[in-house]
Amino acid sequence: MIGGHDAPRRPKAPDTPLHVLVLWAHPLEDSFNARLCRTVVECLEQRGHTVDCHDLYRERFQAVMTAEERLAYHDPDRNQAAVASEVARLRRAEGLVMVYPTWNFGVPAILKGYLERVLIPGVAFHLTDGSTRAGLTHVRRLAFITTYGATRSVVKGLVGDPVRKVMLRGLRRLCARDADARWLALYDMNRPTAQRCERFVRRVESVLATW
Amino acid sequence: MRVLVVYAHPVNDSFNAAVHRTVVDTLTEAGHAVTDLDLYEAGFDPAMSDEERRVYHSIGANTAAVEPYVAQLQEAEGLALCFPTWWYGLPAILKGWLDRVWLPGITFHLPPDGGRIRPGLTNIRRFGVATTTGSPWWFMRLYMAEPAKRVLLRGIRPLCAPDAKHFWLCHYSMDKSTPETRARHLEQVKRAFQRF
Repeated sequence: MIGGHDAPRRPKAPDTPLHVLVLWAHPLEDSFNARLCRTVVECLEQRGHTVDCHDLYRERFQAVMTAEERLAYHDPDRNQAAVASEVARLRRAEGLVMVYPTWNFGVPAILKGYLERVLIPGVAFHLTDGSTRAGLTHVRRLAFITTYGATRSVVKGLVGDPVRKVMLRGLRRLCARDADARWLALYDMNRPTAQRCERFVRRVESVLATW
Repeated sequence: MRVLVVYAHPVNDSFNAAVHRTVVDTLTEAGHAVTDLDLYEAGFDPAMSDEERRVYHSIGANTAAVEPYVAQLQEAEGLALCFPTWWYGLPAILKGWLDRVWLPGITFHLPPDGGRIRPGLTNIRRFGVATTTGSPWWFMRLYMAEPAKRVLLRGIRPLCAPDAKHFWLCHYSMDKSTPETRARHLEQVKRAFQRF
């Protein structure tokens, strides 16, 4: 039984610690989502990574792209003025983790606004002659930790889980070519049970232990 | 028919502003009573607050912060959404309108004993979307599988009347658009909303 499913999971060989940006988007600090975020930060720090947790709600991130930003959007010399500190934090990231509840089959508006205002031309991608070049090649690991109110069959079967494609295709293609991406989702949270929540926390811990 | 038009773009002389004007003018000319909700002009705050999140599942109490927006939805017989596709989805301000206004007890009902959710906006019998994307159609359709279209037509529209008629109008490749393609799109928008 070497390497079989029953073999104890060996921690991945220690590699160079990464600088990880955690984006968290939930209004309540006593929510299950808050617990997920704390779990993520603790796990990463235990692994020796440095963590910058960007708490979009408590840091009062403004989700709405203004007219000025929209008019400067395609000009990399001007389009970062309003989000300079967010851009600086993103540029340091070698790992990127998003922790959020899925609302209406998408990320919460505050996180959607982050994508729109911070992942802009000259930062996340470069547009030249109509083709897109990746701008987040410093990001080598990605993880998405989310909860859905709907059941897995509604999310996958009926709606086709659009936000998963946005992240694993739309965002991943802007990162390092071989970026490792993990998708961890807990469904049916309109009817949560303590047992399923607990199991999900364990799963997040075990995945991040080898991430 | 009473039609709620929801519009989301920050720039007044943008192409989306022209699409929005076309939608409102065409509907008004066709004799519909239009309620025009310009989310930017209204200064809509898209981030659901901690208080709203706490009462989200409390039917009756959860609408307090967004009462006028809820009333607009409940009075509407038709819904038209007009926005640019940003990051494969709705602009944050419009996403926030879904998050904060499309509440349980109003737009859908969760059976307490389990089972599928029931639609709450059966007053809405028409559902029209006019949007734009920077990417070409083949990229949006074949690689990305149209995330915004799926969210709206498969996720949100089923909360309206079961037989609600719907359509999706999109000007793809906006980054390479020309005055001709834009004029053609406005014409298409006009025709679709004349038949609304």
